[in-house]
Amino acid sequence: MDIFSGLLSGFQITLQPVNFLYCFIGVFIGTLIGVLPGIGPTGAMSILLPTTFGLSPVSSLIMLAGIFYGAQYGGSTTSILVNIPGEPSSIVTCLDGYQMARQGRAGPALGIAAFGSLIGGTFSIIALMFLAIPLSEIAVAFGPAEYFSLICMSMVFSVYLARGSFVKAIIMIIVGLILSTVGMDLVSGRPRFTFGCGTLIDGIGLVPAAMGLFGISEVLMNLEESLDRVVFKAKVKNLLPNLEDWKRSIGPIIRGTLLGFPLGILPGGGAIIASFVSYSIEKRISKNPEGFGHGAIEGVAGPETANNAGAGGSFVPLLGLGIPPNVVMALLMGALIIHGVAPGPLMIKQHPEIFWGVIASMYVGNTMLLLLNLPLIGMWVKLLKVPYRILMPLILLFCVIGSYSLNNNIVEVVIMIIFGIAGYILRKFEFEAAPLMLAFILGPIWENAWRQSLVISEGNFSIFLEKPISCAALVLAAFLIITSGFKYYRKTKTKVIIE
Amino acid sequence: MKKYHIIPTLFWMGLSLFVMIFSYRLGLRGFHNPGPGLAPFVLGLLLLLISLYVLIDALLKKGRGDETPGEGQSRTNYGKIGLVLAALFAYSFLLERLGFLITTWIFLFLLFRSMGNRWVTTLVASTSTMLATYLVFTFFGVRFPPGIFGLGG
Amino acid sequence: MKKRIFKGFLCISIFFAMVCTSFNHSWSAEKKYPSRNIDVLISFPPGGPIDLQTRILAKYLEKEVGVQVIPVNKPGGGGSLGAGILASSRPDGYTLSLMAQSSIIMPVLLKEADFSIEDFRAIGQVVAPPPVVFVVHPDSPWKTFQEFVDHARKNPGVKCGHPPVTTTAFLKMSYINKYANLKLVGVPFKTDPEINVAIMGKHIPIAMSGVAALRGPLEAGKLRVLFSFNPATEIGDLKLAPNTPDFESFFGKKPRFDLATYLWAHSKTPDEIIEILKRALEKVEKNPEFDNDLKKVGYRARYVDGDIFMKEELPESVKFIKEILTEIGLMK
Repeated sequence: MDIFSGLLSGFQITLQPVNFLYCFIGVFIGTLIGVLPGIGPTGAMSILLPTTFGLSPVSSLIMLAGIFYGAQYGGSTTSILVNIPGEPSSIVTCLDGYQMARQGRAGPALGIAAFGSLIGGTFSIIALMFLAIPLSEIAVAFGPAEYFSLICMSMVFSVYLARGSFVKAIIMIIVGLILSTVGMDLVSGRPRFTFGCGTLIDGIGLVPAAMGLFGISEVLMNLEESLDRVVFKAKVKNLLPNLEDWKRSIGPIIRGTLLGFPLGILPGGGAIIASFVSYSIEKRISKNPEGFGHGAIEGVAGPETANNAGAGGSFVPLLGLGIPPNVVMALLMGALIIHGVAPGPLMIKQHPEIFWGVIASMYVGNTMLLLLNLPLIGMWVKLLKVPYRILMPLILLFCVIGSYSLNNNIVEVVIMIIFGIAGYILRKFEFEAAPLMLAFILGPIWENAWRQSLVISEGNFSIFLEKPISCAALVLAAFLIITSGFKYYRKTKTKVIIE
Repeated sequence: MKKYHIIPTLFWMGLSLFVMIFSYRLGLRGFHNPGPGLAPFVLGLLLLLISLYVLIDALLKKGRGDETPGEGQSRTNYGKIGLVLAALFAYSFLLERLGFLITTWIFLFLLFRSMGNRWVTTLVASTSTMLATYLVFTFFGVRFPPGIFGLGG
Repeated sequence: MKKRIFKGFLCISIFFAMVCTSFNHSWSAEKKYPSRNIDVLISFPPGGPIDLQTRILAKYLEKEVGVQVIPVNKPGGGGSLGAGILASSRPDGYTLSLMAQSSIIMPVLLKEADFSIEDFRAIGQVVAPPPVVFVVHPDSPWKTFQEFVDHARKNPGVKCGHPPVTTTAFLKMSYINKYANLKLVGVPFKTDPEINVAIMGKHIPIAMSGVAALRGPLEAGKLRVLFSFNPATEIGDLKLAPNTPDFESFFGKKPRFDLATYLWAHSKTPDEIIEILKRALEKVEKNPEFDNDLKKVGYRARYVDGDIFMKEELPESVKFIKEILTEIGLMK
């Protein structure tokens, strides 16, 4: 079945009233999930999984997939509005998106995020259609050594996320990595740094940590000043991005798509890595990098596109190989298996209607999401006009319920508060939360890759240079460090001269 | 200015030593078979080295005072921050004892009021928010503690 | 005037609060079991094999007990978090968990648990011992298991991938390693899909993996099964390599060891409730549709009474796991 007839039949399936409805339900719930703190797409999907038992495999998959990429849209909303990442891949959006909101430009930020997400998502679907199988071959070329080097490279990139000092960013990365070791070590079964606290046995929760570090610390910062200081500029300029915004965003969007899709294929943190590599690249090639971190629209357009492209990319290993690259895909795979379909290269041959039906539904779903989210921008912007003295307790409650609702565990709320205090103190000393958070997320993957590589090579570090992909990534990382080191050195030298 | 750099650096050094000690205890086992403590130990070591570098650099830069915190000396409202933190901790302790509805209502009431809202606004906002969040989250299957009064379980 | 408004609002708030509570609460007096929803804890994240088994079980158990059976994921600690939650839950039969014995035994032996084996009571075996297999890349030089065994014995230190230490697959690998004297070096992975990717990309020569995640790549010919731990009859209708021998035909008499999945409750749950659950479980197991659904994910249904298991098999399992853990150095 060639691609066009396949796609056509896919649309026929998706546009059937039943499937169309489920697609809508999926993306709608997904958006809500992305906006609401705590409950993530995995949680929602597993709650809704039983309801799919009575449905056909296509309908179930359409709905569940809708929840997944819908959540990517919703996640950026809270990042922009209140500096709380709804999804790990939206953490980077907080950096500039929230600043834009404070400048009264929440509308354009939300708008460009929505459009970028649509473009990234749609492109990745197209790529998925044509390239699912060949690309999945690439996915398996990445073994432990390659992962280690890739993540090292990504962490070097993430130093660019910092607005300030180079050294401070490095410290944040190391601390983030250290924090990620808290919890039970899966290799030896020994708990590390838990000090008897049962909640920590699975590590520090990502949601409480992120909400604390970003959301609560932001609230505390805002409380410092006297109350008449306006947090969000009252005069909201436009609701949608203007021509100037578009001109600046086109580049990042294109780059984000091209970057995001391949990175999303990689098991592990694909979409997250995509978002912050995009940010770092945009900052690097921008004509005024100092604008980043203070409301540069490129810092929203690039990452948001990249993370949706990455979400599409993560379907590649599942559909092409039958390997789920992350927890969400594992759930989708489970759903398929329960319906008697084994995802993999054979699925396209044996059950073409599922493959094409899902792909077509992604087009439909992404469009629905755009149509859903755009009008909502007006509503969100109005929300920001609410005086901060009313908004603040709501934000706090939001965070608290979000942390608690994960596991009905009050300790997670306490963890969140502690991270909030930490985040506040860090900011006073001009350390940044973003590199720490990203290192924290990637830490476990990084450490596992490192250990596996060393076991395979029997302690020989040259394995990282012997394998081509790994070597390339490390060389690139080294190159970046050296060139930035030069820049930094030259800057300090000139500072001295000026004085 | 110097203090500004030295205080966090000392903290990082302390943290790195702490990490190194505990990870050593976990067992390092060597590079051919990394033990649970190896990665944290190496990370702790890196942190220690970098903090040392920063410390020495800051000590050597005597009087070069070019790196000020940059914040204006406005009157920082630490009292408010303290109150909010106290409210947050109190909420955590009381949630499972008093139940969701009561604890949330008190929490909201205190916060709204402390932000300077009028009595009426505070009451309306607290009540409506409490109800709204309860209904929305329960709809999504989240379960809240009923507490000893059995409200809102 | 202001004071009156205040009082008024206070009354309204209290009124609303009371209205809300009447929605959800069951202040009920002693009702017949089961009179409300039953939670079944899953100690692993959604999509994994135990998760799938639980969801299928829930679907059929609901019909037998007449109330909703809700699977709840509580992943963490390699499976020990869910066990811990069950151990500290109310012994009223409304919280259950589907677990392999290793989820309980291992944390206790490793002294990382705040529960003990006596806190649990098995209602019954639900799923036959999960198949665990050795997989290799299709291009691998080892065409039969014997070739691999010979090679491993002559070249100690062959790298073999495996899931986390707390899983049954890992224990089985240790078991084979010890009794067949293979001198393998384990490469740890977090999930089965990761293992499969590593094999497909030729990053490791061989690995031990659970079957559920294998189906897609296996059917597409991207992986090959070299050896299956369980007799062929217990592996559902998955088409594995045709002549995979089973352990006994290879190594003769072996100590009894198998880790099946059981439905557990708190040990202090009243006997009447346990009986009701046992009968319901038996009915589910006898239902051919249940078995069919399980087959789709690579498992088979099997019922063994929980008390028999606890008396006869459990102590053996504890002994065996202790041996393995001491041998690989996790226990002193």
